Order: sequence, then C-alpha cells, then structure tokens
Amino acid sequence: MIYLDNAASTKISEEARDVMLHAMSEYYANPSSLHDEGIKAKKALNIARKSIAECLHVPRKSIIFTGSGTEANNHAIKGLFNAGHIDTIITSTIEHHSVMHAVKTLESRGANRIFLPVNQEGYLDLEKLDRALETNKNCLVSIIYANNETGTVQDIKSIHELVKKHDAFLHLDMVQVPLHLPINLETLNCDFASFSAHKFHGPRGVGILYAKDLTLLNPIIDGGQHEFNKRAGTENLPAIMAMATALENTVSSVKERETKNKITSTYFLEQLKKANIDFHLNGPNLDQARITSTLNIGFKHEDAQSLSFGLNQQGIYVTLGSACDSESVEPSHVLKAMKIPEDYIHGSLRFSLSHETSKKDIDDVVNALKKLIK
Amino acid sequence: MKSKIIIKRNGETLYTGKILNMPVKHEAIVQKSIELFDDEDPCIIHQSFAVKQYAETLLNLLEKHKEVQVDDFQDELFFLDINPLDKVVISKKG
Repeated sequence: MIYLDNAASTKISEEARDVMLHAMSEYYANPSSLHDEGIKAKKALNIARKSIAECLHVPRKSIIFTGSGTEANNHAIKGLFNAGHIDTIITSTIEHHSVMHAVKTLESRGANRIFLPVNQEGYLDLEKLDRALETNKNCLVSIIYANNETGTVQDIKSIHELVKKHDAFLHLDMVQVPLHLPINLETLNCDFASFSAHKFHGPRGVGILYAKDLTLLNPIIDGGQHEFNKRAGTENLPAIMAMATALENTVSSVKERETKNKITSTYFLEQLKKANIDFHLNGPNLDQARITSTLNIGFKHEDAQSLSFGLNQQGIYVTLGSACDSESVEPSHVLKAMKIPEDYIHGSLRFSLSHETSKKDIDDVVNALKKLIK
Repeated sequence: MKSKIIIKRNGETLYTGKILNMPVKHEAIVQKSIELFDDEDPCIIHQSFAVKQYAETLLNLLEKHKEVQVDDFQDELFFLDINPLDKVVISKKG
C-alpha cells in the first residue's frame, strides 16, 4: 500500500495514539467537575493548552479547542461578524470550502464579500487585495496560508502588511502548515489562525482556533463556559492531549521532514519526465513558495477518476480535487480559479507525500501511471 | 478504462463506445454503492466509482475471452442495462 493522501488525513502517530488511549481510560472525568478526577482532567487540559501555545509561540489564553479545522475557520469568520466587528470579508477563490461557504452564508446575512483572484500558480493578487482594502471598511481578510490542493504558500508577510496598513483583521487558515513549515504566530502577528490535528499525525475531531484577542469573537455554539466562554461543550480531552503530543513532535522535526519531502518530490517529477508522461504541475515549481510534498499533477487528456481508480487497484491511494454536484463531476474550484489548461485539468490528481514516502514508492507509482497512460 | 466496447445481439449493435459509458442499471449502481459504502443514495462521484468497478469486471472477462457471451456470465454481468441479456455478445473495439 502506498498512501499518498496525507493532505486529506495523516496516520495518527504512535505517541499520539498511546496518549489518546491512555487518556480515554485515565482522564474520563469532566474537566469542569470539582472533584479529584475532574481536577486531574482539568490539569491535563491546561497542560495540553500550554504545550500547544508554546509550540505556536502565543499565550495560552489565545488558544481555544474546536472540533475541527472547519469549525475553527467558521468560528473565526462568523464569530467576528456576529460580534459586529466587520462588514466585509475579503478572501480568495482558492479557499477551503469551510471558508468559502461560511463567507457565502454571511453574505446572505448582509455581509459584503469579495473573492480575490489568483494567478496560474495560485498566488493571490496583492494589488487587488490592496484596492479591496482601500475601498471597504471594517474588513476581515481570510486567506489559506498553504493551499490544500496545490501546496501554494501565500506571501503572508506582504498580505499582513496590507491588512495592517488598512487596519483590518487577518485570519489564516493554517490547516496544512504544521507538518511542513515552521510556525511562529507571534512573528506572523495575525489575528486568527486555524489548525486541525489530523493533518499533523494527530487524531480526528479536534482542532485549534488561535485568536490574538479572544474578546473579539462571539461564540458560534452556545452552552456552558468552556474554552473561555467561546466554545461550549465538554472538552474532547483525549483528543486534545493527543493533539498536543502530535504538535510537539511535528514542530520539532519540521525542517528535516520538509527537506526529505523536497528530495522525494523532485525525484517524482524527474521520474515522470523520464517516463515521457505528459503532465503539468498545477501550482508553483518546487523552488517557489510552496509545500513540496503536495503535488497536484494534471495528466494530458486523461480522466482523473479513471487514473485514481486504476491506481487504487494497484494499492496506490491518491485523491481527486473534484467536487460533485448532482449531475456531473467537475474539476475543483481551486484548479478552475488557477485556470489550469483544459488539456490537463480533467486529468488532475493530488499526490500528497509524507516523510515516509520512499523512492521505491515513487518508482512504483510512476510505473503504475505508465501502464494507465498509454 | 479508456477501452471502447461493442455490445451486440444477433449482429445488431446495441451499444458502442467507452466502457465507462456502457448501460448500467441504476439499481446495480445502488447495490454496489451499498456494498462499498453502505450508502443507498450515492453522490455522482460514488456512482461513477461503482460503474468503474463493474467496468473492471467486464474488462477482466474481455482479457480472457475475445468475445464475451453474456449468456455464460449472466451472474457477473447482471449490471448491464440491456433487456434481455440473452444472446448478447460483447467485444473490445479496436
């Protein structure tokens, strides 16, 4: 089995799994309960929060735990709008659906929304961002730091400068970032950031919302006083503890992992060329600002679904960027926004490698593709 | 999966085209979707995946037989939306 779908979900690390299993039997009490077991659980929750805050270089009181990256994105956008701090949401045409659909929902409630275009490599048009910020007041800019489909990494420093020049808020969808790039939220100085544990070898069902100033956000789930009154619901402590362990391990090895990923990805593209396979790398080349392990590759005049099916038959697991509506399978909104050439867009697959992907794996994938593309 | 096939009965062509576009009964697609995903109301992507599974079955038969006499494989090829299946012959095109 060759698993090349790590941008969709990673395998939980052994350390994180062990922490989670232990916590499920040892930390079952409700952290809000004032008895010894509840206090023990509350302490574990606080330790996990401090550890995560340290990994991200922010105060612990700026971290709230969510049920997913999607929830974190929704909370940042809707929480700020519901609190009356913004009228306009500026985002891009290549965002994750959890941002795009949240923004569209708010549009129906009176928000002004602006979707900015990107170029063929997926980089945001900064001049248009500047203009949008100039002509609108009370703005939130929500941008995907590293694109989940193509690996494109935005020029966050320049985006941040523009956002601050116009006194707007900045939310970064950083779900794909921890496994691949060093993180320092203090340096980034964004207002909000979202993360999801299962993208960095943690468990599913748990995420993080960072908010520089939590008081700016309204809750989007009402209930008890959990998470500094911002996210009601008994905390998913085993998952949170496992997420903290996964994040600690991830940030401590990010550079060596990304170095290895770049070598493997370079090898992959070289082998495709050697095999005379006609392909287009959808997104920046490997020397530009990008995650090197997320390779979205369009194969000329091929059908991505058939390729994916054929690879699956050979135990090679990749994913389509496609979305389905009721009657047809369409190329993803990200690839369409990047204006990927028509000859390649329908044959586009995402190969998201991991540090465990070997050159032998790549050889097997290229051989399988050679057989499928005749 | 790019293969093209011809489906005939008594010399009359019933279908010619890509294997992925062959006539497949909707209930067979639903059946495969339940088998694979436990989903009786599959989305278009899952429907298409189910069709590919059936295409794979047919391609495997076409590798072993130049012409597939459907009468000999009625159980395997029950998914074909051709009525009746008697005397139907399938071959690869080109």
